[in-house]
Amino acid sequence: MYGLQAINAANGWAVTIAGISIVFTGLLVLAAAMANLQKVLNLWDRKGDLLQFLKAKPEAQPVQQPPVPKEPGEPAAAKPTGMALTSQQVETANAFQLIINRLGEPFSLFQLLEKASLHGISHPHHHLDTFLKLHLIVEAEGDQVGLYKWRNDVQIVSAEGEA
Amino acid sequence: MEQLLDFFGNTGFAMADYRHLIMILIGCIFIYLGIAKHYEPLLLVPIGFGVLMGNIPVFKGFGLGIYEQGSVLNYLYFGVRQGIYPPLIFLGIGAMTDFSYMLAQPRLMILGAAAQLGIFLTFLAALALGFSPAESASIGIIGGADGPTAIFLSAKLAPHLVGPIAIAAYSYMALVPVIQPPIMYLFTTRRERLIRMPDPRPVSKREKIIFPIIGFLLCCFLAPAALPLLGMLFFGNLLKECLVADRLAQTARTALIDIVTILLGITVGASTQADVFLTGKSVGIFMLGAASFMVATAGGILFAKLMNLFTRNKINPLLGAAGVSAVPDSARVVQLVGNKEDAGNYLLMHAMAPNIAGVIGSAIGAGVLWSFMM
Repeated sequence: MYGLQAINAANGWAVTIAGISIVFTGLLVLAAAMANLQKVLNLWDRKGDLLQFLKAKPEAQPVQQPPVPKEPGEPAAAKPTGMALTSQQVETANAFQLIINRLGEPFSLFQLLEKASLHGISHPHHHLDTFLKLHLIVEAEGDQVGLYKWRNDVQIVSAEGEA
Repeated sequence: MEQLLDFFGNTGFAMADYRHLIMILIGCIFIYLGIAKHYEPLLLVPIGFGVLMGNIPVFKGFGLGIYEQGSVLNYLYFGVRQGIYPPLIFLGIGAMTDFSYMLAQPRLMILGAAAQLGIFLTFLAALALGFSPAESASIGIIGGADGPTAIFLSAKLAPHLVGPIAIAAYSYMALVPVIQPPIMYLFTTRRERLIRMPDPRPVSKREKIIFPIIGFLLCCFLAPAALPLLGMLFFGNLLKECLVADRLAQTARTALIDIVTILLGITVGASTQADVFLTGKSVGIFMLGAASFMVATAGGILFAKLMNLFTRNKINPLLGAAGVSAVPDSARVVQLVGNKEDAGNYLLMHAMAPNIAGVIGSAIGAGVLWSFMM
């Protein structure tokens, strides 16, 4: 059989229409999902604010508590210092920490940048420069001068919400 | 003297006929095209040498030929017959692909879908020419411009045509810079070719990690038969993007994909024997293969023009040609053609979006055809 007869005998038209429809539907749905993913992630980042907004009640007057006397000789608990960064910076900082965990401390900036570029982290030099200026990454001392460390005593928070 | 004559009678020289010689010549041509002309060398060199190996005349029953049970080539060919090698290649492809171009401009993914028109229209044409439905589906998938997908589907539906289909697919992928530009000029105006695309937005690491999971779930729920190919593609990409499995991603995109490519190429070549290749069907396959590439290119371009009727931010229709998933050659052709009209117009990044979407689309198309033909 040849020609239209062969196509009709094999349900060619139905297979073609169904096939094209399924391929289009698949990629359309995927495109729609990815187009909205950024918005969903932004909403997730702001979930703390959203929950607070939804639970908003009139605030009761706080009860005045007497100050707790400090025990003599007890050292004050060291509070981690917070640093507010943009969401892009927070993400890059997390990625850098992962790389640093594998490189070990102290690490070489060159190796960090090399790994960052390999893993597709965008603008690694710019972010490294920013973190150096913010003292998130500091130079090691003594005989390890020239190598660097990540400051784990700094808590990174997103300026747009919780990190 | 008798022993000498017996020995000579057992050599390939005595058992060869003109078809073996023609196939050996064809194998040498593929090797030449791969080495001297750099036409898809990573595939054409193994396939070419495989053709030489598969067309040495041997005694049946000695466990030497690729179709003989227990031969080394037969064991290696198991990966092609059972569709094992193509998903492993997709694992490596996923581990080396950056989906951020596609994630930054999701609407361009639809151009990747439009280009898969080539698969289904070629399927109809093959039916009309007298090929069986399974053969037609295997020939149609050449239009997906994806070698592993073409081999995967042909191995399942028309294993006797794996050789010519693979050779047609890889040959036309190498000829994309020759096939596509005339069609791009035919279906676009100069004004359309000058359209500049806005810079894509930066894509966060979280999106790049979440995408393979969502993509896999959505695509495989829709077309479960695409599970082996898409599952491995998205898994490879997740290994790459998650950063914590860098060793695995590195292995997938280097050693693993290279090993599988060697075995796939040599066995596909060895399976291409004269009784299948030197027939009218092969001529039909090659003609339909060329037509499928042209239709796929035209389909992508025309759909981009259709989208421009309904969107405010116009898409350069040349990007539709990149929906033909010969990554990254068709994206490069789009860049070259766009650059010729306007030296400041850089379309490569934008063309990668439909290019990569085309890989997903052709895998879905293969899954759909397989499920219809089962």
